[in-house]
Amino acid sequence: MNFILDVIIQGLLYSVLAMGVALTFKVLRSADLTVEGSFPLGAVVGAMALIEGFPIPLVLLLAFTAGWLAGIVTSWLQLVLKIQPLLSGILTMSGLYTINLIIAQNRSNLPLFQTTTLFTRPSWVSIDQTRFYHLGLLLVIVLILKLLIDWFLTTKKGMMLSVAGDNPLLVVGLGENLGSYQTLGLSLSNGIIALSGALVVMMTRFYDLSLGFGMLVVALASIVMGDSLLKSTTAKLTTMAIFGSILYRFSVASALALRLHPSGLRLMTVLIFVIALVFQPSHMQSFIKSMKGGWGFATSSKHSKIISFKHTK
Amino acid sequence: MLHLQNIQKSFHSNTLNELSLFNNFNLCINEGEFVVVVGSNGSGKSSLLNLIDGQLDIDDGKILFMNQDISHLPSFKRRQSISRVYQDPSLGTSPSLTIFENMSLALNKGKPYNLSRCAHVSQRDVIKQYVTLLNLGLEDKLDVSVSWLSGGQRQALSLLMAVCSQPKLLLLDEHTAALDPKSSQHMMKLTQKLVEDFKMTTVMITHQIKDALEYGDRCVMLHEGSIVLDVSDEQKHKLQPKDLLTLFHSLSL
Repeated sequence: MNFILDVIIQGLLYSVLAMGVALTFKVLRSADLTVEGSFPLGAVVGAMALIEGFPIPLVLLLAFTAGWLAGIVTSWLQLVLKIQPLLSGILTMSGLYTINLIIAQNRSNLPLFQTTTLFTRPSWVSIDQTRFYHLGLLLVIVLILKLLIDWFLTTKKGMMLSVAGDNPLLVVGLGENLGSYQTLGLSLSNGIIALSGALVVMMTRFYDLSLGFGMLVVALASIVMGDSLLKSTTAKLTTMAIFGSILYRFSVASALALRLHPSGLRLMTVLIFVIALVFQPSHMQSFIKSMKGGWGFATSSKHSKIISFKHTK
Repeated sequence: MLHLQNIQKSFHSNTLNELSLFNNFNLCINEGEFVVVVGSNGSGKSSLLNLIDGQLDIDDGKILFMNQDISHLPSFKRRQSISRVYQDPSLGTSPSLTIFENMSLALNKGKPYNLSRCAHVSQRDVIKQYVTLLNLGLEDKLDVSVSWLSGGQRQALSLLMAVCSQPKLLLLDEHTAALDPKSSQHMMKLTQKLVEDFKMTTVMITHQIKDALEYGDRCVMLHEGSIVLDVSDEQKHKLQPKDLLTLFHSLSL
Protein backbone atom coordinates (compact mmCIF):
# COMPACT_ATOMS: atom_id res chain seq x y z
CA MET A 1 0.00 0.00 0.00
CA ASN A 2 2.72 2.44 0.97
CA PHE A 3 4.59 1.41 -2.15
CA ILE A 4 1.66 2.43 -4.37
CA LEU A 5 1.14 5.69 -2.43
CA ASP A 6 4.80 6.60 -2.75
CA VAL A 7 4.73 5.89 -6.47
CA ILE A 8 1.69 8.13 -6.95
CA ILE A 9 3.20 10.90 -4.82
CA GLN A 10 6.45 10.81 -6.78
CA GLY A 11 4.53 10.60 -10.05
CA LEU A 12 2.40 13.63 -9.21
CA LEU A 13 5.42 15.55 -7.98
CA TYR A 14 7.26 15.05 -11.26
CA SER A 15 4.13 15.39 -13.42
CA VAL A 16 4.51 19.16 -13.12
CA LEU A 17 7.88 18.76 -14.86
CA ALA A 18 6.31 16.52 -17.51
CA MET A 19 3.54 19.05 -18.19
CA GLY A 20 6.11 21.83 -18.58
CA VAL A 21 8.23 19.80 -20.97
CA ALA A 22 5.11 18.71 -22.89
CA LEU A 23 4.46 22.36 -23.73
CA THR A 24 7.64 22.53 -25.79
CA PHE A 25 7.89 18.89 -26.88
CA LYS A 26 4.26 18.35 -27.83
CA VAL A 27 2.84 21.81 -28.43
CA LEU A 28 5.81 23.66 -29.91
CA ARG A 29 7.26 20.37 -31.20
CA SER A 30 10.86 21.06 -30.34
CA ALA A 31 13.11 19.42 -27.78
CA ASP A 32 14.21 22.18 -25.44
CA LEU A 33 17.32 21.30 -23.44
CA THR A 34 16.98 24.35 -21.18
CA VAL A 35 15.08 21.97 -18.88
CA GLU A 36 18.22 20.55 -17.34
CA GLY A 37 19.19 24.06 -16.23
CA SER A 38 15.81 25.56 -15.44
CA PHE A 39 14.73 22.64 -13.23
CA PRO A 40 17.63 23.09 -10.74
CA LEU A 41 17.24 26.88 -11.19
CA GLY A 42 13.71 26.64 -9.83
CA ALA A 43 15.00 24.35 -7.10
CA VAL A 44 17.80 26.67 -5.99
CA VAL A 45 15.64 29.80 -6.16
CA GLY A 46 13.01 27.95 -4.13
CA ALA A 47 15.57 26.70 -1.61
CA MET A 48 17.16 30.11 -1.10
CA ALA A 49 13.77 31.80 -0.79
CA LEU A 50 12.75 29.22 1.83
CA ILE A 51 15.96 29.78 3.76
CA GLU A 52 15.25 33.52 3.64
CA GLY A 53 11.87 32.71 5.16
CA PHE A 54 9.68 33.96 2.32
CA PRO A 55 6.02 32.85 2.32
CA ILE A 56 5.33 29.73 0.21
CA PRO A 57 3.27 31.42 -2.55
CA LEU A 58 6.07 33.95 -3.07
CA VAL A 59 8.64 31.13 -3.17
CA LEU A 60 6.68 29.41 -5.93
CA LEU A 61 6.20 32.66 -7.81
CA LEU A 62 9.92 33.45 -7.67
CA ALA A 63 10.82 29.99 -8.96
CA PHE A 64 8.30 30.32 -11.81
CA THR A 65 9.64 33.75 -12.75
CA ALA A 66 13.24 32.51 -12.75
CA GLY A 67 12.31 29.69 -15.14
CA TRP A 68 10.34 32.10 -17.30
CA LEU A 69 13.44 34.27 -17.66
CA ALA A 70 15.56 31.22 -18.56
CA GLY A 71 13.07 30.46 -21.34
CA ILE A 72 13.34 34.03 -22.58
CA VAL A 73 17.14 33.70 -22.74
CA THR A 74 16.85 30.52 -24.83
CA SER A 75 14.36 32.08 -27.22
CA TRP A 76 16.51 35.21 -27.46
CA LEU A 77 19.49 33.08 -28.49
CA GLN A 78 17.27 31.42 -31.11
CA LEU A 79 15.43 34.39 -32.51
CA VAL A 80 17.80 37.33 -32.15
CA LEU A 81 21.17 35.64 -32.47
CA LYS A 82 19.79 32.98 -34.86
CA ILE A 83 21.41 30.06 -33.04
CA GLN A 84 19.89 26.62 -33.73
CA PRO A 85 17.11 25.71 -31.27
CA LEU A 86 18.86 22.62 -29.89
CA LEU A 87 22.13 24.48 -29.40
CA SER A 88 20.38 27.47 -27.77
CA GLY A 89 18.94 25.14 -25.15
CA ILE A 90 22.32 23.56 -24.48
CA LEU A 91 23.94 26.99 -24.11
CA THR A 92 21.34 28.23 -21.61
CA MET A 93 21.54 24.95 -19.72
CA SER A 94 25.33 25.21 -19.40
CA GLY A 95 25.19 28.86 -18.45
CA LEU A 96 22.59 28.16 -15.77
CA TYR A 97 25.02 25.80 -14.06
CA THR A 98 27.10 28.82 -13.06
CA ILE A 99 24.05 30.95 -12.33
CA ASN A 100 22.73 28.24 -10.00
CA LEU A 101 26.07 28.18 -8.16
CA ILE A 102 25.99 31.97 -7.80
CA ILE A 103 22.41 31.93 -6.46
CA ALA A 104 23.40 29.26 -3.90
CA GLN A 105 26.40 31.40 -2.97
CA ASN A 106 28.89 28.89 -4.34
CA ARG A 107 27.43 25.96 -2.46
CA SER A 108 26.63 22.89 -4.49
CA ASN A 109 23.99 21.68 -2.08
CA LEU A 110 21.59 23.18 0.42
CA PRO A 111 19.92 21.10 3.15
CA LEU A 112 16.47 22.34 4.13
CA PHE A 113 15.76 19.98 7.02
CA GLN A 114 15.14 22.78 9.50
CA THR A 115 13.02 24.86 7.13
CA THR A 116 9.25 24.88 6.93
CA THR A 117 8.15 23.98 3.41
CA LEU A 118 4.85 23.44 1.64
CA PHE A 119 5.01 19.78 2.58
CA THR A 120 5.86 20.22 6.25
CA ARG A 121 3.28 18.27 8.22
CA PRO A 122 0.97 20.59 10.19
CA SER A 123 0.21 19.62 13.78
CA TRP A 124 -3.30 18.33 13.00
CA VAL A 125 -1.84 15.62 10.75
CA SER A 126 -0.39 12.60 12.52
CA ILE A 127 2.84 10.98 11.33
CA ASP A 128 0.93 8.00 9.93
CA GLN A 129 -1.15 10.31 7.79
CA THR A 130 1.79 12.19 6.26
CA ARG A 131 1.56 10.30 3.00
CA PHE A 132 -2.13 11.08 2.62
CA TYR A 133 -1.45 14.71 3.43
CA HIS A 134 1.22 14.89 0.72
CA LEU A 135 -1.00 13.07 -1.74
CA GLY A 136 -3.93 15.43 -1.13
CA LEU A 137 -1.77 18.51 -1.38
CA LEU A 138 -0.12 17.36 -4.61
CA LEU A 139 -3.46 16.38 -6.13
CA VAL A 140 -4.76 19.90 -5.55
CA ILE A 141 -1.61 21.59 -6.95
CA VAL A 142 -1.36 19.33 -9.98
CA LEU A 143 -5.07 19.63 -10.73
CA ILE A 144 -5.01 23.44 -10.54
CA LEU A 145 -1.99 23.60 -12.83
CA LYS A 146 -3.50 21.09 -15.24
CA LEU A 147 -6.76 23.01 -15.48
CA LEU A 148 -4.87 26.28 -16.02
CA ILE A 149 -2.84 24.79 -18.88
CA ASP A 150 -5.94 23.16 -20.38
CA TRP A 151 -7.78 26.47 -20.23
CA PHE A 152 -4.86 28.36 -21.76
CA LEU A 153 -4.66 25.94 -24.70
CA THR A 154 -8.31 26.60 -25.58
CA THR A 155 -7.89 30.38 -25.72
CA LYS A 156 -7.06 32.14 -28.97
CA LYS A 157 -3.50 32.73 -27.82
CA GLY A 158 -3.05 29.15 -26.65
CA MET A 159 -4.52 27.74 -29.84
CA MET A 160 -2.07 29.85 -31.84
CA LEU A 161 0.73 28.35 -29.75
CA SER A 162 -0.39 24.93 -31.02
CA VAL A 163 -0.39 26.28 -34.56
CA ALA A 164 3.17 27.56 -34.06
CA GLY A 165 4.26 23.97 -33.46
CA ASP A 166 1.94 22.48 -36.05
CA ASN A 167 2.43 24.81 -39.01
CA PRO A 168 4.63 27.85 -38.29
CA LEU A 169 3.84 29.35 -41.69
CA LEU A 170 0.16 29.59 -40.75
CA VAL A 171 0.96 31.79 -37.73
CA VAL A 172 2.53 34.32 -40.09
CA GLY A 173 -0.37 33.74 -42.50
CA LEU A 174 -2.82 34.79 -39.80
CA GLY A 175 -0.86 37.99 -39.31
CA GLU A 176 0.85 37.11 -36.04
CA ASN A 177 4.49 37.26 -35.02
CA LEU A 178 5.82 33.70 -34.96
CA GLY A 179 8.78 34.66 -32.75
CA SER A 180 6.57 35.97 -29.97
CA TYR A 181 4.74 32.63 -29.81
CA GLN A 182 8.00 30.70 -29.67
CA THR A 183 9.12 32.95 -26.83
CA LEU A 184 5.81 32.51 -25.05
CA GLY A 185 6.00 28.72 -25.37
CA LEU A 186 9.58 28.47 -24.15
CA SER A 187 9.12 30.84 -21.21
CA LEU A 188 5.84 29.29 -20.09
CA SER A 189 7.32 25.81 -20.34
CA ASN A 190 10.47 26.70 -18.40
CA GLY A 191 8.46 28.62 -15.81
CA ILE A 192 6.44 25.48 -15.07
CA ILE A 193 9.61 23.35 -15.09
CA ALA A 194 11.23 25.67 -12.53
CA LEU A 195 8.07 25.53 -10.45
CA SER A 196 8.42 21.77 -10.50
CA GLY A 197 12.04 22.12 -9.34
CA ALA A 198 10.88 24.21 -6.37
CA LEU A 199 8.18 21.64 -5.49
CA VAL A 200 10.68 18.79 -5.65
CA VAL A 201 13.16 20.57 -3.40
CA MET A 202 10.38 21.30 -0.91
CA MET A 203 9.44 17.64 -0.84
CA THR A 204 12.96 16.19 -0.63
CA ARG A 205 14.22 19.04 1.59
CA PHE A 206 17.56 18.91 -0.09
CA TYR A 207 18.92 20.93 -2.99
CA ASP A 208 21.77 19.59 -5.07
CA LEU A 209 23.41 21.24 -8.06
CA SER A 210 23.13 18.06 -10.13
CA LEU A 211 19.37 17.85 -9.59
CA GLY A 212 18.56 18.59 -13.23
CA PHE A 213 20.84 15.97 -14.67
CA GLY A 214 18.88 13.62 -16.95
CA MET A 215 15.57 15.38 -16.24
CA LEU A 216 14.77 15.88 -19.91
CA VAL A 217 14.83 12.16 -20.64
CA VAL A 218 12.78 11.46 -17.50
CA ALA A 219 10.17 13.99 -18.62
CA LEU A 220 10.16 12.76 -22.21
CA ALA A 221 9.86 9.14 -21.08
CA SER A 222 6.84 10.13 -18.96
CA ILE A 223 5.22 12.02 -21.83
CA VAL A 224 5.75 9.23 -24.34
CA MET A 225 4.50 6.60 -21.88
CA GLY A 226 1.39 8.64 -21.17
CA ASP A 227 0.91 9.02 -24.88
CA SER A 228 1.08 5.27 -25.48
CA LEU A 229 -1.18 4.58 -22.51
CA LEU A 230 -3.94 7.00 -23.50
CA LYS A 231 -3.44 7.04 -27.26
CA SER A 232 -6.89 5.76 -28.17
CA THR A 233 -8.72 8.09 -25.81
CA THR A 234 -9.50 11.77 -26.17
CA ALA A 235 -7.35 12.54 -23.14
CA LYS A 236 -5.77 15.95 -23.03
CA LEU A 237 -2.03 16.56 -23.26
CA THR A 238 -1.81 17.35 -19.54
CA THR A 239 -3.71 14.21 -18.54
CA MET A 240 -1.30 12.13 -20.60
CA ALA A 241 1.67 13.82 -18.92
CA ILE A 242 0.28 13.16 -15.41
CA PHE A 243 -0.56 9.50 -16.02
CA GLY A 244 2.70 9.01 -17.90
CA SER A 245 4.64 10.44 -15.01
CA ILE A 246 2.96 8.09 -12.53
CA LEU A 247 3.50 5.13 -14.85
CA TYR A 248 7.16 6.07 -15.21
CA ARG A 249 7.64 6.28 -11.44
CA PHE A 250 5.92 2.91 -11.13
CA SER A 251 8.37 1.35 -13.61
CA VAL A 252 11.33 2.85 -11.76
CA ALA A 253 10.06 1.77 -8.34
CA SER A 254 9.34 -1.74 -9.64
CA ALA A 255 12.81 -2.01 -11.11
CA LEU A 256 14.35 -0.92 -7.81
CA ALA A 257 12.13 -3.35 -5.90
CA LEU A 258 13.43 -6.07 -8.18
CA ARG A 259 16.93 -5.22 -6.94
CA LEU A 260 18.08 -3.18 -9.92
CA HIS A 261 21.14 -1.25 -8.82
CA PRO A 262 20.30 2.50 -8.64
CA SER A 263 23.22 3.27 -10.95
CA GLY A 264 21.38 1.40 -13.70
CA LEU A 265 18.38 3.75 -13.55
CA ARG A 266 19.51 6.15 -16.24
CA LEU A 267 20.01 3.37 -18.75
CA MET A 268 16.65 1.92 -17.79
CA THR A 269 14.97 5.30 -18.37
CA VAL A 270 16.44 5.45 -21.85
CA LEU A 271 15.21 1.91 -22.54
CA ILE A 272 11.70 2.77 -21.31
CA PHE A 273 11.74 5.84 -23.51
CA VAL A 274 12.77 3.90 -26.61
CA ILE A 275 10.28 1.09 -25.96
CA ALA A 276 7.41 3.49 -25.34
CA LEU A 277 8.29 5.45 -28.47
CA VAL A 278 8.58 2.38 -30.69
CA PHE A 279 5.34 0.81 -29.43
CA GLN A 280 3.20 3.80 -30.31
CA PRO A 281 0.60 2.48 -32.79
CA SER A 282 1.42 4.96 -35.55
CA HIS A 283 5.09 4.19 -35.19
CA MET A 284 4.53 0.45 -35.32
CA GLN A 285 2.61 0.64 -38.57
CA SER A 286 5.33 2.49 -40.41
CA PHE A 287 7.97 0.29 -38.80
CA ILE A 288 6.27 -2.86 -40.10
CA LYS A 289 5.84 -1.21 -43.48
CA SER A 290 9.53 -0.40 -43.63
CA MET A 291 10.40 -4.00 -42.78
CA LYS A 292 8.24 -5.24 -45.64
CA GLY A 293 9.67 -2.70 -48.03
CA GLY A 294 13.27 -3.64 -47.38
CA TRP A 295 15.86 -1.59 -45.60
CA GLY A 296 14.29 1.83 -45.70
CA PHE A 297 15.20 2.60 -42.13
CA ALA A 298 16.57 6.08 -42.50
CA THR A 299 13.55 7.46 -44.29
CA SER A 300 10.97 5.38 -42.48
CA SER A 301 12.06 6.31 -39.00
CA LYS A 302 12.13 9.98 -39.90
CA HIS A 303 8.70 9.68 -41.42
CA SER A 304 7.17 7.84 -38.53
CA LYS A 305 8.53 10.42 -36.12
CA ILE A 306 6.64 13.10 -37.95
CA ILE A 307 3.46 11.03 -37.88
CA SER A 308 3.70 10.21 -34.23
CA PHE A 309 4.08 13.88 -33.37
CA LYS A 310 1.35 15.02 -35.67
CA HIS A 311 -1.50 12.82 -34.59
CA THR A 312 -1.47 13.85 -31.00
CA LYS A 313 -2.62 17.01 -29.45
CA MET B 1 -4.43 49.51 -54.63
CA LEU B 2 -1.10 47.73 -55.06
CA HIS B 3 1.78 49.55 -56.75
CA LEU B 4 5.19 47.99 -57.26
CA GLN B 5 7.50 50.79 -58.28
CA ASN B 6 11.01 50.38 -59.72
CA ILE B 7 11.57 47.12 -57.92
CA GLN B 8 15.12 45.77 -57.84
CA LYS B 9 15.78 42.26 -56.65
CA SER B 10 18.80 40.05 -57.12
CA PHE B 11 19.67 36.71 -55.60
CA HIS B 12 23.08 35.46 -54.43
CA SER B 13 24.37 39.03 -54.47
CA ASN B 14 28.13 39.55 -54.61
CA THR B 15 28.84 36.01 -55.76
CA LEU B 16 29.65 34.58 -59.17
CA ASN B 17 26.12 33.22 -59.34
CA GLU B 18 24.51 36.61 -58.90
CA LEU B 19 21.11 36.62 -60.56
CA SER B 20 19.37 39.88 -61.06
CA LEU B 21 15.73 38.88 -61.42
CA PHE B 22 13.79 42.13 -61.24
CA ASN B 23 15.28 45.23 -62.81
CA ASN B 24 13.20 48.35 -62.57
CA PHE B 25 10.05 46.25 -62.35
CA ASN B 26 6.70 48.04 -62.27
CA LEU B 27 3.24 46.62 -61.74
CA CYS B 28 0.00 48.27 -60.72
CA ILE B 29 -3.01 46.27 -59.58
CA ASN B 30 -6.37 47.97 -59.20
CA GLU B 31 -9.00 47.37 -56.59
CA GLY B 32 -11.21 44.41 -57.41
CA GLU B 33 -9.03 43.02 -60.19
CA PHE B 34 -8.49 39.27 -60.63
CA VAL B 35 -5.02 39.03 -62.15
CA VAL B 36 -3.74 35.74 -63.54
CA VAL B 37 0.05 35.47 -63.76
CA VAL B 38 1.63 32.96 -66.11
CA GLY B 39 5.23 32.30 -67.09
CA SER B 40 7.83 29.57 -67.28
CA ASN B 41 9.78 28.25 -64.32
CA GLY B 42 12.21 30.84 -63.03
CA SER B 43 10.33 33.70 -64.61
CA GLY B 44 9.81 35.28 -61.19
CA LYS B 45 6.14 34.49 -60.53
CA SER B 46 6.60 33.08 -57.05
CA SER B 47 9.27 35.66 -56.23
CA LEU B 48 6.75 38.33 -57.15
CA LEU B 49 4.30 37.03 -54.56
CA ASN B 50 7.13 36.66 -52.03
CA LEU B 51 8.05 40.30 -52.54
CA ILE B 52 4.45 41.41 -52.13
CA ASP B 53 3.78 39.49 -48.90
CA GLY B 54 7.22 40.13 -47.43
CA GLN B 55 8.72 36.64 -47.52
CA LEU B 56 11.46 38.30 -49.57
CA ASP B 57 12.80 41.81 -49.09
CA ILE B 58 13.21 44.11 -52.04
CA ASP B 59 16.70 45.50 -52.71
CA ASP B 60 15.40 48.79 -53.99
CA GLY B 61 12.15 50.39 -55.05
CA LYS B 62 8.83 50.86 -53.35
CA ILE B 63 5.73 48.79 -52.65
CA LEU B 64 2.57 50.78 -52.02
CA PHE B 65 -0.46 48.93 -50.68
CA MET B 66 -3.70 50.78 -49.93
CA ASN B 67 -1.71 54.05 -50.22
CA GLN B 68 0.73 52.87 -47.58
CA ASP B 69 4.41 52.20 -48.05
CA ILE B 70 4.84 48.57 -46.99
CA SER B 71 8.29 48.08 -48.57
CA HIS B 72 9.96 47.27 -45.28
CA LEU B 73 7.06 46.06 -43.17
CA PRO B 74 7.69 42.59 -41.68
CA SER B 75 5.83 39.75 -43.36
CA PHE B 76 3.41 39.01 -40.52
CA LYS B 77 2.19 42.62 -40.44
CA ARG B 78 1.54 42.62 -44.19
CA ARG B 79 -0.29 39.34 -43.86
CA GLN B 80 -2.88 40.93 -41.58
CA SER B 81 -4.58 42.23 -44.72
CA ILE B 82 -3.07 39.89 -47.32
CA SER B 83 -3.91 36.18 -47.53
CA ARG B 84 -2.05 33.56 -49.47
CA VAL B 85 -2.75 29.98 -50.51
CA TYR B 86 0.27 27.85 -51.33
CA GLN B 87 0.74 25.01 -53.76
CA ASP B 88 1.27 22.54 -50.89
CA PRO B 89 -2.12 21.77 -49.27
CA SER B 90 -0.48 21.16 -45.88
CA LEU B 91 0.76 24.75 -45.58
CA GLY B 92 -2.60 26.44 -45.21
CA THR B 93 -4.07 24.63 -42.23
CA SER B 94 -3.05 23.40 -38.81
CA PRO B 95 -3.32 19.59 -39.13
CA SER B 96 -3.67 18.64 -35.46
CA LEU B 97 -6.55 21.06 -34.87
CA THR B 98 -10.12 20.39 -36.00
CA ILE B 99 -11.84 22.09 -38.94
CA PHE B 100 -13.85 24.11 -36.42
CA GLU B 101 -10.75 25.31 -34.57
CA ASN B 102 -8.93 26.13 -37.80
CA MET B 103 -11.86 28.18 -39.07
CA SER B 104 -12.28 29.94 -35.75
CA LEU B 105 -8.63 31.03 -35.81
CA ALA B 106 -8.90 32.13 -39.43
CA LEU B 107 -12.01 34.24 -38.75
CA ASN B 108 -10.08 36.06 -36.03
CA LYS B 109 -7.39 37.21 -38.47
CA GLY B 110 -6.69 40.92 -38.16
CA LYS B 111 -8.03 40.97 -34.60
CA PRO B 112 -5.95 40.29 -31.48
CA TYR B 113 -5.39 36.68 -30.44
CA ASN B 114 -6.01 37.16 -26.73
CA LEU B 115 -7.07 35.00 -23.81
CA SER B 116 -10.71 34.75 -24.85
CA ARG B 117 -11.95 31.34 -25.82
CA CYS B 118 -11.18 30.09 -29.31
CA ALA B 119 -13.68 27.92 -31.18
CA HIS B 120 -16.56 28.97 -28.96
CA VAL B 121 -19.88 27.14 -29.40
CA SER B 122 -21.53 30.40 -30.40
CA GLN B 123 -19.44 30.44 -33.60
CA ARG B 124 -20.63 27.03 -34.69
CA ASP B 125 -23.50 28.13 -36.90
CA VAL B 126 -21.48 30.81 -38.64
CA ILE B 127 -18.60 28.45 -39.30
CA LYS B 128 -20.98 25.76 -40.51
CA GLN B 129 -22.36 28.21 -43.06
CA TYR B 130 -18.89 29.08 -44.25
CA VAL B 131 -17.83 25.46 -44.61
CA THR B 132 -21.04 24.67 -46.51
CA LEU B 133 -19.77 27.04 -49.21
CA LEU B 134 -17.09 24.45 -50.04
CA ASN B 135 -19.75 21.96 -51.13
CA LEU B 136 -17.62 19.04 -49.94
CA GLY B 137 -19.79 17.83 -47.07
CA LEU B 138 -17.21 19.03 -44.55
CA GLU B 139 -19.89 20.88 -42.56
CA ASP B 140 -20.76 17.53 -40.95
CA LYS B 141 -17.13 16.90 -40.00
CA LEU B 142 -16.42 20.11 -38.10
CA ASP B 143 -14.83 18.28 -35.17
CA VAL B 144 -12.59 16.09 -37.32
CA SER B 145 -8.87 16.80 -37.15
CA VAL B 146 -7.61 18.32 -40.40
CA SER B 147 -4.87 15.67 -40.61
CA TRP B 148 -7.57 13.19 -41.68
CA LEU B 149 -8.65 15.25 -44.70
CA SER B 150 -7.50 14.58 -48.27
CA GLY B 151 -5.25 17.03 -50.10
CA GLY B 152 -8.16 18.42 -52.08
CA GLN B 153 -10.30 18.93 -48.97
CA ARG B 154 -7.40 20.55 -47.14
CA GLN B 155 -6.68 22.91 -49.98
CA ALA B 156 -10.35 23.91 -50.20
CA LEU B 157 -10.29 24.59 -46.45
CA SER B 158 -7.03 26.56 -46.83
CA LEU B 159 -8.71 28.74 -49.43
CA LEU B 160 -11.76 29.29 -47.24
CA MET B 161 -9.51 30.13 -44.28
CA ALA B 162 -7.62 32.59 -46.44
CA VAL B 163 -10.71 34.43 -47.63
CA CYS B 164 -13.13 34.25 -44.68
CA SER B 165 -11.56 37.19 -42.84
CA GLN B 166 -12.06 39.25 -46.03
CA PRO B 167 -8.46 40.33 -46.58
CA LYS B 168 -7.80 43.20 -48.98
CA LEU B 169 -5.64 41.06 -51.24
CA LEU B 170 -5.60 37.35 -52.02
CA LEU B 171 -2.49 35.68 -53.41
CA LEU B 172 -2.89 32.24 -55.00
CA ASP B 173 0.40 30.49 -55.61
CA GLU B 174 -0.40 27.64 -58.05
CA HIS B 175 -2.96 26.53 -55.51
CA THR B 176 -4.43 23.80 -57.73
CA ALA B 177 -1.14 22.33 -58.98
CA ALA B 178 -0.95 19.53 -56.40
CA LEU B 179 -4.51 18.34 -56.96
CA ASP B 180 -5.96 15.75 -59.32
CA PRO B 181 -7.79 17.10 -62.41
CA LYS B 182 -11.25 16.80 -60.85
CA SER B 183 -10.34 18.40 -57.52
CA SER B 184 -8.39 21.00 -59.41
CA GLN B 185 -11.44 21.92 -61.45
CA HIS B 186 -13.65 22.03 -58.38
CA MET B 187 -11.05 24.20 -56.69
CA MET B 188 -11.00 26.72 -59.54
CA LYS B 189 -14.80 26.97 -59.60
CA LEU B 190 -14.71 27.47 -55.84
CA THR B 191 -12.02 30.10 -56.14
CA GLN B 192 -14.06 32.08 -58.62
CA LYS B 193 -17.16 31.83 -56.45
CA LEU B 194 -15.39 32.88 -53.26
CA VAL B 195 -13.49 35.72 -54.94
CA GLU B 196 -16.79 37.04 -56.30
CA ASP B 197 -18.68 36.51 -53.02
CA PHE B 198 -16.05 38.26 -50.94
CA LYS B 199 -15.15 40.82 -53.65
CA MET B 200 -11.42 40.44 -53.26
CA THR B 201 -8.55 41.72 -55.30
CA THR B 202 -6.73 38.57 -56.38
CA VAL B 203 -3.40 37.63 -57.91
CA MET B 204 -3.26 34.02 -59.11
CA ILE B 205 -0.29 32.14 -60.47
CA THR B 206 -1.04 29.17 -62.68
CA HIS B 207 0.64 26.86 -65.15
CA GLN B 208 -2.70 25.83 -66.64
CA ILE B 209 -3.16 27.80 -69.86
CA LYS B 210 -6.83 26.83 -69.82
CA ASP B 211 -7.38 28.28 -66.36
CA ALA B 212 -5.42 31.39 -67.24
CA LEU B 213 -7.81 32.12 -70.09
CA GLU B 214 -11.00 31.01 -68.39
CA TYR B 215 -10.62 32.85 -65.10
CA GLY B 216 -9.76 36.39 -64.08
CA ASP B 217 -10.11 39.69 -65.84
CA ARG B 218 -6.44 40.40 -66.50
CA CYS B 219 -3.61 38.18 -67.67
CA VAL B 220 0.06 38.96 -67.11
CA MET B 221 2.90 36.90 -68.54
CA LEU B 222 6.30 37.11 -66.92
CA HIS B 223 9.62 36.21 -68.50
CA GLU B 224 12.94 36.58 -66.72
CA GLY B 225 11.58 39.17 -64.37
CA SER B 226 9.78 41.38 -66.83
CA ILE B 227 6.24 41.61 -68.11
CA VAL B 228 5.96 40.41 -71.69
CA LEU B 229 2.18 40.39 -71.91
CA ASP B 230 -0.46 42.33 -70.02
CA VAL B 231 -4.02 42.16 -71.30
CA SER B 232 -7.30 42.83 -69.58
CA ASP B 233 -11.06 42.55 -70.07
CA GLU B 234 -12.15 42.19 -73.69
CA GLN B 235 -8.67 41.77 -75.02
CA LYS B 236 -8.13 38.94 -72.56
CA HIS B 237 -11.36 37.23 -73.59
CA LYS B 238 -10.21 37.24 -77.20
CA LEU B 239 -6.97 35.51 -76.23
CA GLN B 240 -6.65 31.95 -77.57
CA PRO B 241 -4.62 29.12 -76.06
CA LYS B 242 -2.42 29.03 -79.16
CA ASP B 243 -1.58 32.74 -78.77
CA LEU B 244 -0.21 32.12 -75.30
CA LEU B 245 1.59 28.97 -76.37
CA THR B 246 3.21 30.70 -79.33
CA LEU B 247 4.41 33.46 -77.05
CA PHE B 248 5.68 30.88 -74.59
CA HIS B 249 7.70 29.04 -77.21
CA SER B 250 9.11 32.16 -78.82
CA LEU B 251 10.41 33.27 -75.42
CA SER B 252 11.98 30.03 -74.36
CA LEU B 253 13.98 29.73 -77.58
